Amino acid sequence: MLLDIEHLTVRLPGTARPVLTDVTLRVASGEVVGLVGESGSGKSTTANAALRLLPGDATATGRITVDGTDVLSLTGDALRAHRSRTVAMVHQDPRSALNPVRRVGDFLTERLRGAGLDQRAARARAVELLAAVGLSDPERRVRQRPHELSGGMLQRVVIAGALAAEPRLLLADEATSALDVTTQAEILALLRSLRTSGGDRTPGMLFITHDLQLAAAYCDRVYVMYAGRVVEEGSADDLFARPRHPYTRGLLDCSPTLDTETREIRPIPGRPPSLADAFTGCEFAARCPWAEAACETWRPEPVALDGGGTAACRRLPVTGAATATATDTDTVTVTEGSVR
Amino acid sequence: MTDAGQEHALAVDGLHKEYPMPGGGRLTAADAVSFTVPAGGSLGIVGESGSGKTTVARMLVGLVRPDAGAVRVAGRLRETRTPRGASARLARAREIQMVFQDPYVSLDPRLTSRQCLTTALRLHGRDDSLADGLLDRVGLGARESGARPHGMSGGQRQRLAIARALAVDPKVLVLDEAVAALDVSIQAQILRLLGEIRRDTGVALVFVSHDLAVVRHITDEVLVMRRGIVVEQGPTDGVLAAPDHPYTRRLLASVPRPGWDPAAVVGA
Repeated sequence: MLLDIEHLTVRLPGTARPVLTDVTLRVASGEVVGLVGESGSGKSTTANAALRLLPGDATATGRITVDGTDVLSLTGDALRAHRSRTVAMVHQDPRSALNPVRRVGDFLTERLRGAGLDQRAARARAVELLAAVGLSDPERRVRQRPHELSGGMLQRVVIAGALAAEPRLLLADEATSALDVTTQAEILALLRSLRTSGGDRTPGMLFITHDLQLAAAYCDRVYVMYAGRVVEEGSADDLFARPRHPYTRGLLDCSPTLDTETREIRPIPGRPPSLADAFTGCEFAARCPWAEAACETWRPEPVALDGGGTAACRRLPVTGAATATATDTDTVTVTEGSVR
Repeated sequence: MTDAGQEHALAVDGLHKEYPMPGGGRLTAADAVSFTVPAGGSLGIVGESGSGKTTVARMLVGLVRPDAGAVRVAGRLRETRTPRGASARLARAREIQMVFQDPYVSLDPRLTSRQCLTTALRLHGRDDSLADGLLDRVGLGARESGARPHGMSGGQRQRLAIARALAVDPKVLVLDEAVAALDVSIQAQILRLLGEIRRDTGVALVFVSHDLAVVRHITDEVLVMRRGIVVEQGPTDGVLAAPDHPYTRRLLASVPRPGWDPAAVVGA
């Protein structure tokens, strides 16, 4: 297993609940794994943990291994090599990842020099990398500065930088969220093409997004997080067609789609919890249409689903069987045909 | 157009805006944009970055002066220049109100929710007591009524921004990416709220967004813009179900869905 997170719990001082609670997550070589949830659900913290980039005062229990290396015990040079070579991260905003007063090429050659290439070879490799991520005229691009490139082009540069060290694991944290949809499609096609390229050394990808539709369309497997906990895990197709956890269902029911059939969306009542909210039982109980009194004290644990995957819900027999009528009183119907 | 303008909450005819480019030459941000929205109707303007959708929204409100074209609200022509005199300016403000993407920036950090609303109400000579009804209308309770913007969540702030816009009882509400920054469960709540407000008050919505799925759910008619030009417009259902223009088709193909292949979009 390439990335293996087991029972990871991360606590921060001054918060009412752990940032992450008992997170178990795996990414295999060549696999694209989605991590979905709303703000504050712990998606980014999970990715940062794989780089051991947790706040200084955080306490972490559990185990994180990347390619067999125990990440939480890394220090010094080994940690630096882990962050620069083994794992690469692509963030949402490429403009904050690139130094605005340096040339685009410097961003790449700096890393390549770090990996042991001389300046001439690094320069040639930088041009190759920019061509590989689909930038036109790479010879000219290496001499340009970030302000001369569009957001989509810059994100390609950042991805080229991520690939420069030939990492085993790619972490994409909302990497396409700020891009136009047509540009997003191009970047996603590029990222997907990478995994068909490397044979045994094929990188795995953890793809973080708030967009469940995108995760379902793009990933092989998907983890859904809520309030620092993985509430459901399964193949993207299953999760989308047969969501079992009430939160996953709620997310699907409240996401607008282009389907011609359904014209209504069902909001999830309430708001996503903050770190100031403490829970005695299931974190989602207060917003859940299937919740019973016992859910308030039930400590969520993943239950294996028939057909693969897990869900952390004590009402699973009910949520599995029920159609989504429980929230029917809560629907919005957009009035049609009042145009002319 | 003048006759038709009488029947519509909002009638826009031939809006045009150009900007000079740094190296010479001119950029057409919006060209020949025309549409109408009936009272209680909802029109979407969709497009990617640089399509001119925000420029159009800002021209409607008066934040950008159009080079040519006319905006009429309930048949009355809006002057491109801000009128002289407080009462004329206030009357103009009551025609069209705007809700922005980030209410954290557009709300005064020093005012509580209730003060934010009473300030707007007093300015327009309306009664303070209407504030409670407005807060209730957008689903803000007693705690939020006394809270300042930093003490509220993004969704609550956007509810307040909508309440503030409604405080002057406008004919038209322009929303520029108003749900783009919200979590999807909160976005759904705000979309439902906007649907209710539209039904109950008869305000006309102009909904500017990059998100085709959202636009599909909240609008009756849609304008698809690209590089300042309206490439396609018509009933939302028709345009999104059977797009005529290749660009609209490409936009639709780019929206992730089950079985979607990004490479196929790029190749198309």
